[in-house]
Amino acid sequence: MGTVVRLDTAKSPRRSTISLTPLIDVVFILLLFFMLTSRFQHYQAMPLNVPASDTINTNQSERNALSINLQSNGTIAINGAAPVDQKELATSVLVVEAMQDELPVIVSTGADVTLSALTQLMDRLSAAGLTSVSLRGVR
Amino acid sequence: MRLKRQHTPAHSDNNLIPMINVVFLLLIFFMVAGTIEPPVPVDTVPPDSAQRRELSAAQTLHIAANGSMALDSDFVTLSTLRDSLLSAEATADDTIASLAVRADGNLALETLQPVLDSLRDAGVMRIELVTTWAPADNR
Repeated sequence: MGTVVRLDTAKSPRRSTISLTPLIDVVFILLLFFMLTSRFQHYQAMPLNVPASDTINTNQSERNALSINLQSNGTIAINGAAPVDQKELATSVLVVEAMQDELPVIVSTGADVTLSALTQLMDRLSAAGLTSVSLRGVR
Repeated sequence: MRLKRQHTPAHSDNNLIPMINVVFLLLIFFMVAGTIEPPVPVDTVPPDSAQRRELSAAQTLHIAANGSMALDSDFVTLSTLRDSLLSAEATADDTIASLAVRADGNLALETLQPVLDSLRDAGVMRIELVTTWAPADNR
C-alpha cells in the first residue's frame, strides 16, 4: 500500500505541472479592478427641510419657530437678537426653551456662507436637541 | 542536466506561491472592504458632520463647488433638473419621496438655494444632504 502511494506522488508533478502564470494574470487583473473602482469613504445623510418660501415667511410660523441667522464669520443671531458665537448656542435660553417646546428651527443665512458652515451649525443644533431644521435661504 | 531542466519550471512556480498568497489577500481585502460606485461626472467633497444616519434616497444629485450639477451620472442644469427628475422616477402623483443631495462643502448657499427651490417645485418631499463622518471635537 505504502509503495503505491509513493509512486503516485512521485509521478504526478512530472506528468502535469499546471502553470500558475495564467492564474496570477487573472488575479492581478481582478486586484487592479477592485483597487481602482472601490471607494472606502462611507457617507451619511443629513435631513433638510425646504419648505415653500411663501408659507414660511408668514408671521404665524415665525412666532412658532426658532429663527437663527447664520453669518459668514460664523456668528449666529437667534430670533433677531445680537449676533453671538456659535459655541454659545447650546447654553442660550431661547434654544433651551425651543427644545422643551419642540419648536421647529428656521435657519437663514447671510451672504457668502458655505454649505460646510451650514452643516456645522446643523450639527450643533442636533447636539442641542433640535432636530426639525428648515432652511430659509439667503436674505 | 536533463533532470535539472525538468525541475526548473516547477521550482519557479513554487517560488511564486507566497506572492500569490499576498495578492489573493489584497484581492479579498479590496473586494470586502471597498464599495463599488458608478463614476460621477462632477467632483464633490461633501462637508463633515458628526451625525450618523444611513442614506436612503435612491437618486443622488451631485453639485460641484462651481455650481455644475449631475443627477446620478447625467449632467443637468437648473432648467432641465425638473424634467430629468420626473422622467427618471415614474411617479403617479408627481412627487419624489426623497433625494440625496451631494454638494461640495465649499458651495455657496446662494448657489444651492435656487437648486433646492426647483427641487421643491419638482415635488421632492425629503432632501438628504450627503456628509462624511467626522467627530465633533475636531472642529
